[in-house]
Amino acid sequence: MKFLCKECWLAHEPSTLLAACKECDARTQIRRLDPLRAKVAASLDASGDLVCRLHPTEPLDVFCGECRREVPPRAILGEQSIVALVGDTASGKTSLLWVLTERLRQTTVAVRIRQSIGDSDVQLARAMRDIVEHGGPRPTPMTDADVRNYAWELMARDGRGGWVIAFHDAAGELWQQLGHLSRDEYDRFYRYLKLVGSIILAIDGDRILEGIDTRTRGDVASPAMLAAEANEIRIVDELARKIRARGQPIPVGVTVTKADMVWERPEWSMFRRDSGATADEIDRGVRELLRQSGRDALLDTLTSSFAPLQFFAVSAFGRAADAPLRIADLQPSRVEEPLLAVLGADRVLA
Amino acid sequence: MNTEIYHCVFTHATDGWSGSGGRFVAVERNAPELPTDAEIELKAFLGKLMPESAAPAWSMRRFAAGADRYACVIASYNGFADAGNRAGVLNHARVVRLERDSIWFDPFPLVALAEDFDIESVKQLDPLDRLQAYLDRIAEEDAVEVRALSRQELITLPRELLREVLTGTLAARADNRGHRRVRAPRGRLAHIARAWAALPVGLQRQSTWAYGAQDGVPVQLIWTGDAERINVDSPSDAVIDCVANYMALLDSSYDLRTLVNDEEINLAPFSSLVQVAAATVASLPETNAMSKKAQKPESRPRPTAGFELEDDAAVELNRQYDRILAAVKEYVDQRLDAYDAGGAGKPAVRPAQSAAVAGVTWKQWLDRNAIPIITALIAGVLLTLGVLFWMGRIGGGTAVRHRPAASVRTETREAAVIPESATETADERPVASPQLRKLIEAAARTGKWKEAFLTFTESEPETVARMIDDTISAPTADANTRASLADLRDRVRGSGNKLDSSDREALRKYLLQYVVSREATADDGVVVDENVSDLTPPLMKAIKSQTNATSSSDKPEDFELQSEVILRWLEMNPS
Repeated sequence: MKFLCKECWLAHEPSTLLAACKECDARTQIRRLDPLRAKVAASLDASGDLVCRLHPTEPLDVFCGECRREVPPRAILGEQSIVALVGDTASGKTSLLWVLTERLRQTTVAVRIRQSIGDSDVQLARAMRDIVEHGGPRPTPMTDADVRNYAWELMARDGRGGWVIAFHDAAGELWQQLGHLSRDEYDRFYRYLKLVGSIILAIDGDRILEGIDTRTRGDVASPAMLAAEANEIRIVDELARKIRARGQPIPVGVTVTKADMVWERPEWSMFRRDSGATADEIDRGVRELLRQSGRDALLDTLTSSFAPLQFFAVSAFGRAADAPLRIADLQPSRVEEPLLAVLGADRVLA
Repeated sequence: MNTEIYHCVFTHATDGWSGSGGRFVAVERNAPELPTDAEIELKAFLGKLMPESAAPAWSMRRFAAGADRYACVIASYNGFADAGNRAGVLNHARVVRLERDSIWFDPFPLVALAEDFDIESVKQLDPLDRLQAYLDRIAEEDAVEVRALSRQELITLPRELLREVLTGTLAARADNRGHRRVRAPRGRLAHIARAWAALPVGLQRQSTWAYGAQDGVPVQLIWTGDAERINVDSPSDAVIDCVANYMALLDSSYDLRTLVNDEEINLAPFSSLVQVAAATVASLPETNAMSKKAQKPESRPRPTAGFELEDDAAVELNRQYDRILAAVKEYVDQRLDAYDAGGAGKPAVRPAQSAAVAGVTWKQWLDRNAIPIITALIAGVLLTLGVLFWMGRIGGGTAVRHRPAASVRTETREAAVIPESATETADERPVASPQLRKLIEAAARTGKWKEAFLTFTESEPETVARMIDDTISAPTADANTRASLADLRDRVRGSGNKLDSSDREALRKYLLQYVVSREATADDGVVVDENVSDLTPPLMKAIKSQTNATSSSDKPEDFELQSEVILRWLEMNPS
């Protein structure tokens, strides 16, 4: 059993956690944190809660041994819990993450958020306020993984499963420079990477469409499109190196974002929310989309580097993110599908 | 003196060619001369800064690269859209190299230059032209005045602003969470920067700050205009007192040069030094020349000829004499050893001076001259003490009491708070507290040192807490050690005699390590340097024998001995 501190990106064994018992504190008039091992009852109580050895009816508060912030006792990590939301700059990662959490609170999705861990919702709302108040997305600063860390506890609506998920919303530039980032300056980011158990790779649908048009017309590709393609290959290569070094398979969901740009064309209307297309059909459709836009090299790199691998097409806003962006106008499409797939939740629920 | 400005610019702004995302752009007087580590750090910093609102964000930081010292002010402007039409930023660092004589520098001209930059005129241009226009403008900025900060300039700052900035900065430095968001003070950014620069260089370097920035920028303090996001907990009383004392010192005529130029000083020693110095200032009205309440110095009776030394001065004289004698003997022994070693294996290498006394060996020469040398040195010391006594410095109670150095570093720090009128030879010891003296006397009679030690931790928790603070701020302490020490300190402060046996055990070990570290030479960490130590030989022997006991021995007799070591050391080093 490992507990997640999302501020430090540490997966704590009980031996590295601290604990406090309110009863002990009240009796001694000393507020102190002790090692969990010294504080916890030898056997967990019937509910599985961590309780005090001296006061068996008192649940323990658990704290990270590094930052001393409280660690929710239900923040128990699963194999795929830590998700890397990866992608080039402006590929729509932050918007996808925000809308995803909103979708996971709606009744139409089979999995819902049971609780937010720490200040995740507050932080995400703040990030999105920036987007909405400025009328459109803003670049994400290239900070270390000490801010924009989000974690939620999920549960199936029918009670058949529960998961903890955690993301760090890193800037596209960081993913581009993955091979050369300073460990000193990005210490927590490296810790986060070590914990990653599943990957969602965001590919900008706008650039995909531009690729298709360029090929169709026989034009010269724009520098921005060429840069995006080169960056994606670089990101995938670096990620693949890190994953291979771990020696364990990590599920990857390749996700074409801003699918609303694409589905306006009849041949790609299957990406619409209400198209009725199955997961397999979407997977085949996205692979074909990538080929037609000239991303054969990316496709080959992905298929040779990762398994299991599945393709998705999503739209966070359901429309172009032009100002003024109003929450009431948003119509997200299929945004939860990549997450449920990489967590294995879709199989549990099937 | 005008100093060249180096520039480093990070931006998302589109130039019509690059893709989306941030990048560094080449500018005239780029900052290429920075060593690699400093450049990586600066560039990483630039990528992390983003305004929290439509107004620009700012940051001020100092850094060292090898022997060079730098300071920079960073501006972060909104309004530079990227290729994906996202609302990006332009972050611009103006970097200056600081000369040796101005490392405690006045940032006002540099920050004012950045603050007065007309960014609005750039933002009015077409988005595609903004970056180039900005670069063209800053190409004209080639130099700025960089000079040492004058205390006169600090006096012109509004008191409340100075207090607010110093309090915010030191509170952030003391915050275990790593950073604080504090409501921004009202005033020009350049004034805020100048107020921050009033701190010693070492503390400035440890307390980088930003103004109006989003979280994630690696600073200790963010001044913010967003009332919803400020830290509500107020600074500790210790910080408030420290700031009050420091402001009093800044207003006085104290010679603070060594203190403010100290590049290594941490919060705990700074706080202790300021407290001691402020108390001294309060007791020395004649040094408060710049204070409005400065009083005319009282006339002191001048010693008459044939004066008698007071007891303390006599003891001091004896001590100085013993030291000089030991130093000369040691020097002679060393030279003789070197001479003998040379004669044994190879032709002796004689000192150049020996040519002048042909036919006389070095040993013979020393035998003949040792006594005159020693006599001359003693006469020099006597003369110095006599002059000082005549000036009313010894025995008159006006000299700052400070211990002779147990290490060079300690001496440097304490010298920092000596008033300009005092001299290095005013070398009286500070006095241990009456409780401590009583405890030691009682323990010496009964042999119950452990009991005395526990009583001491209960009766003088603040002294113990300060020692722990000092250990926490040591650069060698890792995060876990710091955390457990901080926990222990809080309990010492807050709980008095409620420490349990394991806490007391940990406390004893930490304090013993503290004593050992204070008495040890820098290199070996365990060998007491007898040449500079004030400790008595038995005590030094005890420390040596107990150095390893902190980790290996738990025998009751060692508890007693370790407790004695700590208490006796504290008696001699109460400051």
